[in-house]
Amino acid sequence: MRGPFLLATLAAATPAAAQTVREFSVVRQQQGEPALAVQVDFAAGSLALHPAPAGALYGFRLTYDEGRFAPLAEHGRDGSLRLGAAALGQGGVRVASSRSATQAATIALSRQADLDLAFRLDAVEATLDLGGLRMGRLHFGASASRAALRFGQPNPVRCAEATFDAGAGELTVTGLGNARCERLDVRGGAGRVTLDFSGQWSGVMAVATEMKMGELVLRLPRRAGVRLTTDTFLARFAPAGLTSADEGRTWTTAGFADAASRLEVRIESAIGGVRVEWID
Amino acid sequence: MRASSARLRRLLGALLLLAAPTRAAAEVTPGTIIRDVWELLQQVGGDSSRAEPAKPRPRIIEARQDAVTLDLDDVAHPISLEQRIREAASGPDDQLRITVTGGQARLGDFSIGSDETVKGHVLVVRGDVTVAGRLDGNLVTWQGDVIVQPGAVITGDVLALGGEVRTLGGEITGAARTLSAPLVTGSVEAPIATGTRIVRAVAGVAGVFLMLFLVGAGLVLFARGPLETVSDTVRHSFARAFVVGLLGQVLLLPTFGMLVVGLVLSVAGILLLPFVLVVFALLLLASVVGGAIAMAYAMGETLTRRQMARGAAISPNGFRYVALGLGSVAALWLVWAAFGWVPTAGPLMQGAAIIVSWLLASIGFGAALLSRGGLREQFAGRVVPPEMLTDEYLWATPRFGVPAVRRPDKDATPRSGTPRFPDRDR
Repeated sequence: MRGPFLLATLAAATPAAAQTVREFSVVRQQQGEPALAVQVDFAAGSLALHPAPAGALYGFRLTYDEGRFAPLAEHGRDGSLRLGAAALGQGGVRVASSRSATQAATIALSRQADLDLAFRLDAVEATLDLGGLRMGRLHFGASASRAALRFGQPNPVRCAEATFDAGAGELTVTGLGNARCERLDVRGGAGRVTLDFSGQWSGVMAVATEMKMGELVLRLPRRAGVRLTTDTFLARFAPAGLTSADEGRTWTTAGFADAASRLEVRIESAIGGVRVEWID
Repeated sequence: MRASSARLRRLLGALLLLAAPTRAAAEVTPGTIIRDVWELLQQVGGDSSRAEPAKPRPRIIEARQDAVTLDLDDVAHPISLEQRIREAASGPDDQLRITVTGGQARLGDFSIGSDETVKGHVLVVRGDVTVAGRLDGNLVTWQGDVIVQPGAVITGDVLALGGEVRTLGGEITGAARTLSAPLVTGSVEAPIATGTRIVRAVAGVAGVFLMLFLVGAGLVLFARGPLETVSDTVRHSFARAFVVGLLGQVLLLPTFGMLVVGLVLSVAGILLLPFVLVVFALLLLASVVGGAIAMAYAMGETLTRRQMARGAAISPNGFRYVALGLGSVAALWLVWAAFGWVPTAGPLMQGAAIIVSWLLASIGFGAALLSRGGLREQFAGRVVPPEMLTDEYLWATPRFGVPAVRRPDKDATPRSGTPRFPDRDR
């Protein structure tokens, strides 16, 4: 009598599914390519980016869950490069689980080629060191990510435009003075956005920020001339160190008109707060 | 046997060396000793998990009529290519039949000398490739590494499936890709026996219902009045409570949204937002849990009264009602806990238990809403509201029935005003 019961017990017992992790890498040596348009698509996990060693055009290493993702590395003859991890399946609601935490990607990009960078991240912990890259354009889009972008060294070329869409995540950009961008568009959702304008300043940078419910922290250099134009609904605004001549819509630093490097910031904020901090 | 004794001797030697006072006493800790011994065990004994299979004897794989044809022109999609190569290279070494379009397939280690030039794509199965010369084509290895020596030139892509690309110098005009072998990670849990699963499920069900009973007992002790009012509302306005419970669930989120938006738009209300969020959550929890317990109370009371009607000598009290009601629902879940592992029937039992629990909770929730958490007694059928009262109830009841069938004749009415009833007077 016990035999059949034990047999049924063993038959009913099923093992839990395990995760199959694989590692993919691709490296391409520089063959005199003048430019590269890089698109990074990454759904979940951690992402790191840094400049590549001399002689390499790009490098990409991905550790991924084989059951849920597939590596993405397509280099077109037109100079386009698509890197990341493509989610398997035909769309629908994708729920990132703790299993996605094992997924990690590292990207290295050449300092010799002119770069147009575009990032599309979902639930990602991203650390991007863009210092020293020849970045002509940058678009950073994230939905629920925590991202830290750093321009540790000056951009050798002028950057025409940089756009940041932080979604509901947290975004910190430091060393924006080194980015050498003429225009900066920042859209924030429900998270916190910190813009640090330290670095080697030159020329004029126009910054437009549009915040919905999140908090915007502006770290401004004392030596640059700063003008803030605000359009806030219910947002708190602490204009420390700035003076206004038109009942609180425009705020400027002393000597703004004569400053060699100038920063013009337009702030639209619905609910949340705008905080100004000064850096030397 | 001889190999194992030699290994043992080496291990003992290593342990003796480790025990020698070569390291400063301050550096030696139990943790370092364990680590060192473990490392030594791995070095001396060898790590069987990392043991590499014996490599096959290098040779070219002959192209025959029945060979599998592989196209290596495009190696940018390693996953699909790996699948094709795995199928082609799955057999024993001496039975491999692979043809590479515009190139060659090889088995075992392969090298291109510094004065050599190989034209066409190369596929190497179960072997390492060392390139010191020139390769005009793509290079793919299956379970092998690629070593690119200084001065080497590969005018194509390199792909190492289950291996690495080690560039010591040289030039690769294309891309160098690697795709590791699958590595199973994560917690591979041991299979759970059905008996264990049943015990766990029963314990879970018992825990949940014991907790609900304790809450119910607390309500009986400290809030008996509201609990009975909600319970009576369930019995007297059953259908209405269900409809209100359903509507309450549907309108829950919109109500919450309106509340938040209203507070935000009122500016001053923003400060109240955290407080309101907490209160809303607590009220919701109290309504759902309290309503469910009141529903169980009503069920228990009904069951108890039926038992008493049949002559059972039991004492009717609130604790008994709650225990009986909750026990009835728990019985459903216990059936699932005992037989939930049965294919098809198990999920059906679970679905039934969920639906019944949801129905009961919805009715309880609706009753709690209708009776405002047991404070309003109209729906409980205990108190007749004043507006329902008319002076009809104040009329005197005739002693011998209601003679409304016939009005008294006008003529028969005496002047004194006292009506006359011909049938009775006769």
